[in-house]
Amino acid sequence: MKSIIGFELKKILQKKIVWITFIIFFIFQLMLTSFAYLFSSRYIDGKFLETKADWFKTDRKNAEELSGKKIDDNLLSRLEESNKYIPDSEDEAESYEYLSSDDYQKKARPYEPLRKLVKTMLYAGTGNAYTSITSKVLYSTRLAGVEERWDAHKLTEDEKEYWRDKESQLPDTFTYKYGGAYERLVDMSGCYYICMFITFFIAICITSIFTEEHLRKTDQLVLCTKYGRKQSYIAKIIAGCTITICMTLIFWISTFICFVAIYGIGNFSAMVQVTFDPIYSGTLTIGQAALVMTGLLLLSSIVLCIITMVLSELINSNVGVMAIVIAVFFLLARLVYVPADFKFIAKVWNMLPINLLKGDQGLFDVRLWNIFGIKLTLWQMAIIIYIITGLVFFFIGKKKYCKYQVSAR
Amino acid sequence: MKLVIDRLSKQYKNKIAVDRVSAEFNNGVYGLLGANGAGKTTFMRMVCGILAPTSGSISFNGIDAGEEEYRNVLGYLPQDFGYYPNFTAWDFLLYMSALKGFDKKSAKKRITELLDFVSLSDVSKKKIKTYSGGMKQRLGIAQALLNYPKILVMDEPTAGLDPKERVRFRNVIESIGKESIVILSTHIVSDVEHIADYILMMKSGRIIFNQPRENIEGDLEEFYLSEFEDGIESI
Repeated sequence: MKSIIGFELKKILQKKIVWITFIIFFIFQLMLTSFAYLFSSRYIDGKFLETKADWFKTDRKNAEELSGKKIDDNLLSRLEESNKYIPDSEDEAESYEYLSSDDYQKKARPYEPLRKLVKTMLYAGTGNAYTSITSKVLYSTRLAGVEERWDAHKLTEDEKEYWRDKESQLPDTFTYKYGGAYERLVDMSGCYYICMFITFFIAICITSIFTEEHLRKTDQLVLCTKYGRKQSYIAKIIAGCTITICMTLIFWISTFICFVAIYGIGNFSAMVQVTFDPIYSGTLTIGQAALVMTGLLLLSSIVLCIITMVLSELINSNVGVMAIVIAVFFLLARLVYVPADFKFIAKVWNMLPINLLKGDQGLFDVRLWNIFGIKLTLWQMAIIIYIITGLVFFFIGKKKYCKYQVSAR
Repeated sequence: MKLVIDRLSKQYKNKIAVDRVSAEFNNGVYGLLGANGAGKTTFMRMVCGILAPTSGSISFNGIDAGEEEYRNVLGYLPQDFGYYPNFTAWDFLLYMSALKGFDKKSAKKRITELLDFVSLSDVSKKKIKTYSGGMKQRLGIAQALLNYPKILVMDEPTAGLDPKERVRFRNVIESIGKESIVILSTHIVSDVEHIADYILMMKSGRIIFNQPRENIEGDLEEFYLSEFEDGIESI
């Protein structure tokens, strides 16, 4: 079996299209993760302010200095103090003169990460711009934002109860921690982009594993051998999945290395609420969220790979399957937004890999699945659905391949 | 060793490709003659288990053609087949031997023998896409012989071979036929004239003649033509 898998891998890796696709996508991914850092600068009113590299470095340094500080009245008052150095007029606050001044660089900028966080927490709750506040107001406003999200997603009382319980497990006062590379993996520049590239890679390179055997008429040689049916099918599936997993890992590792180099590793234990989504009610830390996303990315890649291979065997057309995969798993998934009123469809739709790996829409979606009294979040349910879907497609494909008939050509 | 074919039929919508064929095969070379479209390839595909019959059965020593055990004793050379262009002959035969259940060591030994037999040893590390039609055909023959098949099915095996290779090939088939069942389909009568122990003739999906070679007096080609001209259905 091992040697059959080895030859199936060899067949895939000998195709030029596999290497061309990989190299192009790999360059794209590197550009998306580090291009801004390496090759661009900030210009305000046509004047050079700083390189993006310096910008990120300063922001990272400021965030790391704030890391570990409790967001309490004391810190908020210091933030308030620094706000005095920000001009009231938005135009003035974004002018070259102000941004290059000591007032901004030394007094206001060090609190920028916290300022953004507080603004988001307040905006989510009130829709108003940031004003002077106390910690009590901040957290109660945040809670109002949380409830508003629940209503917007048409949560039932049962679901709300589940999240209220989660909310009760959160500390009364949040501690700011810098998310670093973990945060980037969770936002759209991390696992989401990797998922997008892997979807395309699968559509282009994996669809031909079965169809080429039929097109080249090698199927008749393979199918009449001792291990030409069941074992050959399993070997092809394993080979396709192995290539997909390797590609996903290469993309993930290179992305993570770039993120660590640019943003620093960050704090694994940083709350999602202070790094990515202030009105998230769960107890996942940003490091755990990054791990869950990585797991989901790998699992969804494997399942998509199996679906693609089996579809190509079922309809015997790699181009047709390529179109289906790109249309359904990329274009439609990205373009179609299912309103909250159609709750069930929206939940299913958001479980498509490209949607699930969008932090706010997928991983942190508050709509729950109730399975025999057990409440599961979208990503927990997605793991079950992915495994079931993968197995169902695997067995459908096995049945089709093992009974394949070499008829008139 | 007995290959039993019992009332085998294959129907495609409104066309009957193979029509209630029954036959028994023991060790020996069986030359299957018939014009294009007679149903030879369909019949052979069913014997190889890659095409399910509409009705009837195929078994070897009681093992059904759909079983792994049956495929383990089968060697098949299709009429029109493809290769993996980026594989070398060595890789291709290694892959086929893995599919036929060989371990690496015995596969290498067998492949070396076969490459020598089909005169491809010198080019075994070259990619198949650089091979001529005749070389590809010889490689196809080698893969069919890999597992010392008890049932060897060859569809137009001499296509693309030069006269010298053809003679060599016939000699090998003759020796394999002493211990195995060899079914060799062709419309070139001279290919089977000297080596076939039995002659089968197919027409419109039916076997119209099935006799030992020695029962045919005189020139086989003339006999073959007369059979088809007369349209005798003598089985």
